[in-house]
Amino acid sequence: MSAPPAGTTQWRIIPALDKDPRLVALVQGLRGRVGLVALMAALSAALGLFNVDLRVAPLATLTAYAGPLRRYLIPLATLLLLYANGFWVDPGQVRAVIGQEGLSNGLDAAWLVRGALLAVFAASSCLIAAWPRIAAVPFLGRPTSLLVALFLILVVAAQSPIAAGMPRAILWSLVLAFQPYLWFLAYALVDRGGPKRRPVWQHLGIFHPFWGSSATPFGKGLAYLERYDAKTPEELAITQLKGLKLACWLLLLAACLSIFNHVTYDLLRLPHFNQVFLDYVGGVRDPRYLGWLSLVTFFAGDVLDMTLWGGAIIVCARMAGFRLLRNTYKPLEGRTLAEFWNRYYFFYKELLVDHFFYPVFIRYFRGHRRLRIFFATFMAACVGNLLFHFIRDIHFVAELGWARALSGEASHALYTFLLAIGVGISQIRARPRTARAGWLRGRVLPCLWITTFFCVLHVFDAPTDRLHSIGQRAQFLSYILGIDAWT
Amino acid sequence: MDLKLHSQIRAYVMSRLSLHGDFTPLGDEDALFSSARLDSLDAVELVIFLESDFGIDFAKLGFDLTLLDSVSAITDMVSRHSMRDVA
Repeated sequence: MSAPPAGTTQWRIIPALDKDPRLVALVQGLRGRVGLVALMAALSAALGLFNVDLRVAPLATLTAYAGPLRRYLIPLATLLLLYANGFWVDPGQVRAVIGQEGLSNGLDAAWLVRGALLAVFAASSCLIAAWPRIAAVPFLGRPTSLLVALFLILVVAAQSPIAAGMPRAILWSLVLAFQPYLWFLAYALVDRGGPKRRPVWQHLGIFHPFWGSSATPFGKGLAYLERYDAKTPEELAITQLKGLKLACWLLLLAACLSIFNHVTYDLLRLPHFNQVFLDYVGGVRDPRYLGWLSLVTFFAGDVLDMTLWGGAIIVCARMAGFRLLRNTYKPLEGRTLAEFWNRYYFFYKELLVDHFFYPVFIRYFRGHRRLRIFFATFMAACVGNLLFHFIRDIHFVAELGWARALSGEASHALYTFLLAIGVGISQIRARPRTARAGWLRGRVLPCLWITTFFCVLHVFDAPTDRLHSIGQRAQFLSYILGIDAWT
Repeated sequence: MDLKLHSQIRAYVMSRLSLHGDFTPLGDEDALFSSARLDSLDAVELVIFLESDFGIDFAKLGFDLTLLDSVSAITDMVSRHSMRDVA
């Protein structure tokens, strides 16, 4: 993601709007700003035709002009969006637990969720406020370990037999209300431990910020956002023009994805990967080449999907004045598995690096360079990755019980294990510097290797599939690999 | 500012940038990681370099990439926390 060498010019599909001094000057004035909001509204409508949600972008653009009020508007907009999205808690999951406990007649899931959310936000506020003192207590000073331990203790308590009945319903509503905010709270605690103290409400104001997020915070915590905040009218103009440029790029990609899907699935009638796998499990053997084609088309579609989804969030953040890096940036230009992962889902990789890689890296195997890097990478890409998804899909424990929920993770556990081994090896190997490696060795071969690795690995990438076993997925892989003795 | 320390750190950062094919001029205050000129693998290499050459103990300090985001920031951090004589 480094800048091109000085003196080189690049041909661009989308012109470098942010580098045109006249445009930068124009969008600092009233006319330019009105035009920018109107353009974002138009782009938002156009992208909506392709199911890319950019509805917040015009609002985000306006918040950037609010001056000192902006610090209040951001939490307010976040709160409104949280309210509109039901605070990211699925009341259906709480209702299911209430039903399991036979309390459907006496207990309202909506009220239970509201109470749980209040408790979670109150507890988060207290934790953030008291963090400097808590962090000084031995064994409590590591935010990630503490929050994950607290979360798992809550789940264990909720699933224990002595909690049957009303306590179980209450405990599960707390778990399900805590889960969407865990990683946001982790970043808030890390920031609170830093040199600059900020008010608690500002930390809470970016829990699922209004520009968008998933369980992964896009923009991390307050300290990161402050570092990326446009400080001057000129910086803001450049940041917003970068947002506009990215929105135009997304429109182009959305059209490409639409054409790709039409050609692949409507004209050529190629099956989706899940269909080929389900056919195999059902006893129907599609030709092997269809298995491979479905994996490759899934990979291509997934990279485009990820670019669009993450890109829309970054557009909104940039329009709001934050110079965030792109979530997906030329992933196929990555020369190694580690580089691909970095370019494919930047903010998720950052979450794993911040909360698992660095804490391990600075403490363990310090005298063994390669082992140290490999171990820290493994803890992030395997353990952290698996834990993240287990926490995200914690409702399976309530629905299926510990044994089935954990055994259902087996396939995804193998996926994260193989991913970690691959990324770990690519991290400790000498880095190929391909500027001089030529087109074939520098671009084509790494791209082929990365695509093949992730296509094969995708067979096991099923974090929410609780119906099919790891054995069935391994058998399917052996089938498309042509290892007939296994099938 | 310790000029020898500064030039050592600057030379190291320039060598990391050159590995990315980045030969554009580098100011002491220019952002390294938040501008994406260096990536997380460079951060790892930088940590190892600072530990081995200056005795910085990140396990005690805690890891904060903002302390390493420019040549000036790194120099300042090393001069405050180095366990060795860097002069």
